[in-house]
Amino acid sequence: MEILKLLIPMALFLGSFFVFLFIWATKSGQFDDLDTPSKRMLLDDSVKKDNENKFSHHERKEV
Amino acid sequence: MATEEVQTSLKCVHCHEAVITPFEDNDKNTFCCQGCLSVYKILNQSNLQEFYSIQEQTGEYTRPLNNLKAKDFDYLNNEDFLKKYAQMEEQWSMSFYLKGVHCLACLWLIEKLPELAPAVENSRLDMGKSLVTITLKKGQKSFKEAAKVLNNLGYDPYPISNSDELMERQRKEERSLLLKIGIAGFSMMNIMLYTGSVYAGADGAYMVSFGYLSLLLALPVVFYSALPFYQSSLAAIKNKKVNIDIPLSFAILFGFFVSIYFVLQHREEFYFDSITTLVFLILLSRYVLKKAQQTSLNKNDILGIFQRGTTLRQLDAESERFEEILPEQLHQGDLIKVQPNEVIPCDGVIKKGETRINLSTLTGESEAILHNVGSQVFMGTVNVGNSILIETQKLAEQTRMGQLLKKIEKDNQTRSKYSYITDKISEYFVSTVFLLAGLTFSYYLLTQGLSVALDHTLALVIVTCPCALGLATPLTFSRVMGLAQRNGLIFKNEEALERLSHIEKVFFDKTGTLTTGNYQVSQASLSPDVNQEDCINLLYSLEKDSSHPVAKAIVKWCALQNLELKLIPLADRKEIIGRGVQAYQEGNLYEVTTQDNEDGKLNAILTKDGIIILSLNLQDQIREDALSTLRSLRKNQYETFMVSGDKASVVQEVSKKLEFESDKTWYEVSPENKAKHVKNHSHVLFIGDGANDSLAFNSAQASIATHGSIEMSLRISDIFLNEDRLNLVPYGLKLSKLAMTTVRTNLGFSLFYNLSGAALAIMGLIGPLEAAVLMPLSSLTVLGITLFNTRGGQRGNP
Repeated sequence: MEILKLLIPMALFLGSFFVFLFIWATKSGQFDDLDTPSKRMLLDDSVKKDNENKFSHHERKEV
Repeated sequence: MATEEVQTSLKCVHCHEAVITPFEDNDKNTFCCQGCLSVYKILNQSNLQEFYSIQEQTGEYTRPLNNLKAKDFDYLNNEDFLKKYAQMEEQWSMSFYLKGVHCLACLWLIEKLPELAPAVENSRLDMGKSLVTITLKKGQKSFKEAAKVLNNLGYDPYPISNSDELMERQRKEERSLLLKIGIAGFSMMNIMLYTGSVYAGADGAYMVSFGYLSLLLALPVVFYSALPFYQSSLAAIKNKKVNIDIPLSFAILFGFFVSIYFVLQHREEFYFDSITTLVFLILLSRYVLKKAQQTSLNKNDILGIFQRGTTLRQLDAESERFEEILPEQLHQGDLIKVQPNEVIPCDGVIKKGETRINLSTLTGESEAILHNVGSQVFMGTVNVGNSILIETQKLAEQTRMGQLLKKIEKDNQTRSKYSYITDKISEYFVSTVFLLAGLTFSYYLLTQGLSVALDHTLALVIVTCPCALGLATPLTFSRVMGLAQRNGLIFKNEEALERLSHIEKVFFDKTGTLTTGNYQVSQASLSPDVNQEDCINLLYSLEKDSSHPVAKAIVKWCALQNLELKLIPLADRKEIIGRGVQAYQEGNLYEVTTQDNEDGKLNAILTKDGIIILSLNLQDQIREDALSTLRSLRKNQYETFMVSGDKASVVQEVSKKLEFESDKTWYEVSPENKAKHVKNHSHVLFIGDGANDSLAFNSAQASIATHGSIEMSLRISDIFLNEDRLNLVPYGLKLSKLAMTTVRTNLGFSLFYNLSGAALAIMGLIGPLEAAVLMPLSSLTVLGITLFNTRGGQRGNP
């Protein structure tokens, strides 16, 4: 049971760390818009796609 | 000749609306209007065709862009303007409100802005608020180009001031509520760890230190997270009212201080976990409810609805030079130019020009009225004729519209004499709990001492915690409102839901509610000695460029005649306001005019040198789903009525078609008398046109607006139909019943639960520990009932 003396402060420290992160995230506006990000992730990044195509083309050549 | 609905298979490449008069580009793609065509061109030139594949994949299409107007946005370069509207941290950024953003493809396109406007570094869209924030590249200062691009794409950007107080306050409130929830959640879970250990048998030094630890963790919850409860309780007490936050605050504070006392005495029981759980759950349910209401009511600035857009101010009296400014930059005495289809931004007098003005937002009349030099014009009305020059007299709140809105606002606040079920019950509830707690405490204090008295009272307070009222009711409302919103029905607030559930009679306005409000040609008669094809081509050529509703109906009818429409060259084409269109062709004068025929219906006639060669019967068309909606209402025992300001013959015909009983149909009714008819009945739901029926709306118990802007309609009515479907009305009624049944079930259950719990606690059969276990059990039960009753099953099948 002696280990609790170490574990409890550790748990509290870890917890406070995440609370701090949460406060920071909220204050910097990360939770202001809950609608758009869920839709934004559905869109492909077209520039990246072009690069990928070039890459696969390149690969094929090597084979 | 046929009178069928538009059945054309031609769809606009850009917006997928049915095409009536096709516009074509060089590759033979068809568009419904010039606006869509030009956006298509821009996208093609910039290699942004992916817009269309996104539309196709999601099945959501952008809206047609009929009234695309080029704007200068010169005012965006004004230094004073930048100071007030833009933000500067290394780079300039500014927020714009955008009209018409709603689909995934819009999101994609708007965030591709840097590819279209080189000065832009980044553009982020918030779809819930329809706000885009544009950041410029380092060293760039002009938002003009970006705004122009957005405008050309059809989004009509409107700059938002960087010190917009309401929005700022709303954002701060939301963030602070989220912080409170997060902190309460953290403390709650950590405290449970220690409380669980104590329940499991931790004793001695561990138990004591766990007690102190829990106390420490509960501090931020009691003194920060729970602040809203105290504030609202104090406000209620100040106003000599009772609300649900009073027993909640009492339970939190009482529980907290008694637990401190127990911890100090090194006793095994402390109830920090119950308190923190309570705070966490109730804050969470309030946050969810707030979110459900917010999506519909974002813009609090009412006058802004009529002032969104820019105005042309004359620079000096002699020249014809104008500068583009925002309405708020207007001063009294300024001369401004109002172009066709623009909203008039102030009260004033016409100095130059003659036009027709649609006053429907102010008076409810749908017919546009002729205005000359010297005529008084009002803010919020729409110029549907020619360009006019106005001298500004009154601005913003001083205008007639501003006064009207203020009055409506005031009416809304004083209107509800109706007491809501939750308010009523919480009143009884609060006084009962306090009475019982006081009695219990004094009885045990006198008979068995302080410790026992505290024990029993605490058990009573915890077990009677008003979970159904505080937790389940807001959750029910927010779930039902969310469900309704997904189907196109926007409730103003939870009161609207409760009002709607008591409805017995449904009043309908005719024009624009039961009918579409658009004219349609119902019958045509051609003079026998005229070639049909030539005649229709001529009619088409005459009316094609007119924006008058009658002209639109005629063009639509022409397109349906199975003919290859040809444009006939016309000379001297003139649109005469209040009369119609005329032009010469091969020396003959052709004219299209309207006239009322014997039975009060509208006729459009084409004359050649004064002789009628074609006559068209025009009719306001009944909505497709009107009859089925009415039948379904009648089947569910609702009484249906129709009140209209229109002429007897027209109303009677519609009434017959829609199976209204003749003693439940009123015609030629003024707005004031509409309100009187409503007042003669009780439990009335009035369904009408946005702003026009505001008097009747205010006299009815509940009201639904079918038209107009959301912001405006929700100011004056309880519910707004966001989709053009009348059958959402029975669906809304059903939902409101469902919500109230759920609320009542929950209240019934918790009343029973609280009563039996209270009895046991008073008798001392359950201590605070058992009470603390029973409390969340009851919360879980009501939550379960709520979630089960409002599960998404009813979706999609209104």
